[in-house]
Amino acid sequence: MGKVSKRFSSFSKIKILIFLLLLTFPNFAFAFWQWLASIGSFILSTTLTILSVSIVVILVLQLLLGAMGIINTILSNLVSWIIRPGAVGWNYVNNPFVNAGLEITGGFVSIGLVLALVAIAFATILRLEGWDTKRLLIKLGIVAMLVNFAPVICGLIVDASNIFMYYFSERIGGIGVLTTTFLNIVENIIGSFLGIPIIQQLNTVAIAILQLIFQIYLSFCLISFLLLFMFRVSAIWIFTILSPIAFICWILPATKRYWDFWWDNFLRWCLAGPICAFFLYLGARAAEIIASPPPGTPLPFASVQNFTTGPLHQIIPYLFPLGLLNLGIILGVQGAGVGSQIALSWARRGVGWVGEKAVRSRPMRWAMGKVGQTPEYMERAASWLRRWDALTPVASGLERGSSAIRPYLAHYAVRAREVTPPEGFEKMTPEEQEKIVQSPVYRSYERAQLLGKMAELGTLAKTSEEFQKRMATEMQLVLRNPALRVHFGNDIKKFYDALFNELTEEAKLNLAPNPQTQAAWEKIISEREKELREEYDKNPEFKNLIDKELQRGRTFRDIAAGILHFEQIRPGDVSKVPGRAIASIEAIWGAHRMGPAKFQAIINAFDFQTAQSLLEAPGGWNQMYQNVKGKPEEEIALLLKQRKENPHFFNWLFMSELGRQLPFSGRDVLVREFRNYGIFKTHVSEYEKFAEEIEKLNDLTEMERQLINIQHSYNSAIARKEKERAKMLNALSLEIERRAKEIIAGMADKNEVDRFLNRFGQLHLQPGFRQGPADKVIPTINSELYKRWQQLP
Amino acid sequence: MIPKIPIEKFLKLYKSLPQDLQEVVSSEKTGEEVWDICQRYGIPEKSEEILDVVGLVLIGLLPPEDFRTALEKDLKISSPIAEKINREIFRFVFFPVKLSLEKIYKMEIEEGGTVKEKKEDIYREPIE
Repeated sequence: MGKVSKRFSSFSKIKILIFLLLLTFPNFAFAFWQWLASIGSFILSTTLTILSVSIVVILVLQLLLGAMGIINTILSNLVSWIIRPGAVGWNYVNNPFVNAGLEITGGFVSIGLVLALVAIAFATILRLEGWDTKRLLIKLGIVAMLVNFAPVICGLIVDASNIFMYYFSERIGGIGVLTTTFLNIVENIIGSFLGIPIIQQLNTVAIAILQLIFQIYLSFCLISFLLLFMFRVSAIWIFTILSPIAFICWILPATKRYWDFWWDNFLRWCLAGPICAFFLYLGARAAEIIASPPPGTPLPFASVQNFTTGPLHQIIPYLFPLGLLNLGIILGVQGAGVGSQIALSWARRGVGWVGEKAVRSRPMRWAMGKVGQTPEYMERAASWLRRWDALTPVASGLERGSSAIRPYLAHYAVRAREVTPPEGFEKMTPEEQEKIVQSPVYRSYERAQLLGKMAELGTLAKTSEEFQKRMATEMQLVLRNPALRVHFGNDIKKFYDALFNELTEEAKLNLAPNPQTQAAWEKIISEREKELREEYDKNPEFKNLIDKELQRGRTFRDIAAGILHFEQIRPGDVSKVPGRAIASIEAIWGAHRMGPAKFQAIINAFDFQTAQSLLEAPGGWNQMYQNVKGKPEEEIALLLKQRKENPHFFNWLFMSELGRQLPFSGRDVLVREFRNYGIFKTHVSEYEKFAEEIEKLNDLTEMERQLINIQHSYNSAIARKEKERAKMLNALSLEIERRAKEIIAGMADKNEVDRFLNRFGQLHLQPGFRQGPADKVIPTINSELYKRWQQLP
Repeated sequence: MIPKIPIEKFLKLYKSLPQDLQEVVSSEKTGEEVWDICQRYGIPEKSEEILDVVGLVLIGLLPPEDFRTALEKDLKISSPIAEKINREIFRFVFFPVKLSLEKIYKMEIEEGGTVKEKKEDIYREPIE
C-alpha cells in the first residue's frame, strides 16, 4: 500500500509540475495543446481512413470470395460429374451420333478399298519406287478384314484408357474440399475482422486478397479440366467416326500420314483422360490431407508460421494441390491431341474476362483507387510531419518512398477511376451529352473524363453557355487536387482547349506538368498582363471590352492565362472551340502571336469574317492602328512592335498570296513609309538600329534633363542651407551677446577684464572663430568690455 | 494596273484549287522567291506588283502564257528583264506545281517558261 501511494504521489508531482509549467508559459501551453490536438486529429483521421478503407475492402472481398466460392463449387461438381462413367449418358463408341457418322464413313470403305487396289495396280505397272506390291496387298487384305471392326477396336482402346481414368475418379473424395476449406477460412477472416486491432486488419485484408487470387487460380484450373474432359468425349466420337477412313489410309504409302495423324491424336486423347484424372485425384487427395491431417502429423510448411500469424498459414499449404492441378493441365494438354490447346485458351479467356469484370466493378475500382492513392497519403503525412524539425528526416523518407512507389501505383489509381461513357455517348446530341454529364451519378473526376471526351468529339463547343461556365468552375476545383490533376490533367486540358475563355490563372498554373513549366507560364502571364494593362490605359474600346470581363469576375491575370492557353492550342483543335470563345478577348489578344496555320484553321472551321474579326475587334492588330491614326511615329512603332511580337505571321501577311489578300491596316503604313515589304524587310534592321539609337539618344536627353533638374535642386538646397545657416548664426549671435553681457557684468576687477581680453584676442585670431556666430558680436563685446573696464576701480 | 480581287471571291477560288496549289498560295515561300528574283534583276520596287500577277496565275485567273505579257504591258518592265523574270518565276514558282496548273489551264508547261496548248495525239500508225 505504501509503495502504491509513493508511486501515486510521484506521478501526481510530475503532473503538477507540468501543469505549473504550462501555467507559467501560456504560449508554450497553447502550442503544446495545439500540437497535441493536431496529433490527435491526424491519428483520428488516419484511423478513420484506414478503418473505412478496410471495411469496404473486406466487404468487397467478402462478396467476391463468396461469388468465387459458389462458382468453384459448381465447377468442381461439374468436373467430378464429367469424369465419372456414363456422365454423358452415351457410350463412347456406340451412340446415335457416332452411328450416324459411321453410316457416312462406312459407305466410303468399299470405294476406298477398290481405289487402293487400283492404286496398287498402277504402282505395279509403273514400277513406282517404295510401292512394294506384295506388302501392300497383304495390308489391303488385313484392312479389308479389320475395317468393319474399326469402331470396335477404337472402343477397346477407349475402354482401356477409361479403366485407368475411372480408377482415379472413383477415389476422388470431392474436389470441392478445396473450395470448402477456402470458404471456411474466409468465414473465419470475416468473423474475426471486427474483433481484431486495426493494424492487423491490414494483414487480414492482404490474406483475403491472397485468398481471392487462390480462388481465381483454382477456377482457372477447374475450367481447364472441365473443358479438357468435354473435348475428350467429343474428340473420341469424331475419331471413332473417322476410323474406317483412317484404316484405309494405312494401306498406301501416299495416304499413310493421314493414318499416322489419326492414330497419334486418337491415342493422345484417350491417354489424356487417365493423366488428368490422376493429377486431379492427387490434388484433391492432397487438399483432403491438408484440411484434416492424420493425428500427430505436423502441419506442412510449418516454418511459414514463424513469420505469419492468423489464417495465412492455413492457405499457404494449398499451393501444393493447386500446383498439382496445374501440372495435370499442362501434361493433359501436352498429352492430348489436336484441339486440346483450345480448352486451355478458352479457360484463360474466361478467367480473364471474369477477372476484368471484377477489377472494373465499382467497389473494386474504389478500393484500387485507395491503394493507388497511397503515395498521396504519404505525401500528406510528410508535409504534416515537416512542422517539426526533429521529424524532417522521417518526412523526407516518406516523400522519397512516395515518389518511388508512385509510378507503380499510379496505373491502379487511374484505372480505378476510369469512367466508361454510356453506350452510344459519341452519337448523342450535345444537349443529351450535357444532361448525362450533369447527372449526379458522376463524380467530378469522372465528369472531367466525359468532358475531355466531349471536347475531343467537338460537342462541347455546342453546349449551352451556362453549362460551360458551371463545368469550368468544377474543373478548376478538380485541378486543386494534386492526384486528380496528375491523372486527369489531360482530359481537363482538352476541356480548356475548347473553353480557354473560361480559364483562370489558378487553373492554368495547375495544368502545368512540372514546377519549371509552371514558373515559365507564370512569367508569361505576367508579361501578357502588363501588355493588357498598357493597352487598357490607352485604348478606350479595348478598355470597354476588358471592363465587361472584369465585371463577370475575371481578373487581368485570368485573361492573360486564357491568352496563353489560346496561344498554345494547336491549329487542329481550333475546330473544337465554340464561336463565343473565338470572339473572346483571349482569342483576340492571343491572335497577336498565332501562326498562319492557326489563322487558316479558323477560316476553315468558321469563316473568313470570324478570322478577320480577330484583327478588327478592339485589341486586334487592325483596331490598334485606328487608335494611333494620324501619328506617323506611333504607327511605325506599332508596325515594328507587331513584327517583333509575331515575325512569322507578319511575314506571312506580306509574303504569301493568301496573307496579302487579307485587310491589314499596317500594310498602308508600310507602303507609305517603305514602299513595299521587300524594302521594309531589307532596311528594317537598319531602321530598328536607328530607332534604337534614337531611343538611346532620347534616353541621353532625358538623362541630361534629369541632371539639370538635379543641379537646380542642389543649388536650391545649398541656398536654403545658407539661409538657414545665416538665420541660425543670427540667433546664436544674439545668444552669445546676451551671455557675454552677463559674464562681463559679473567681472569683479580690471585684471579679470584684461585676462578675458587676452583670451578673447587669441580666440579672435582663429579662422573658425571668425566665421562663427561670435564674430558678429565682437564689436558689441569689445564696447561692453571697455565700458566695464572704465566702471571698475 | 493589276485588278484587285475581292477577298470573298479570292477565298472561293482558293478553296476550289488543288491541294498543292493551295499550299503554294498560302506559303510565304512564293513571296520570298519573287522578292529574290526582283532583287537579282534590280527591280525590288516592282516585287509587290509582280507578286500580284503571280497570284493571279496561281489562283487560276491569268493563264501562265500571258504572264510575260502582263509583266511587260501592265508593269512596264523592259522586255529582256521581263523575259528573264518570266523564266525564273516559271522555274521556281510555277514548275513545282506544273501538273495542277496544266490541269486548271488545260495546257503543257515547260521548265524554260514556254507554254504549249494541250492537244490530243491524233496520229495513228497505218495498220497496213
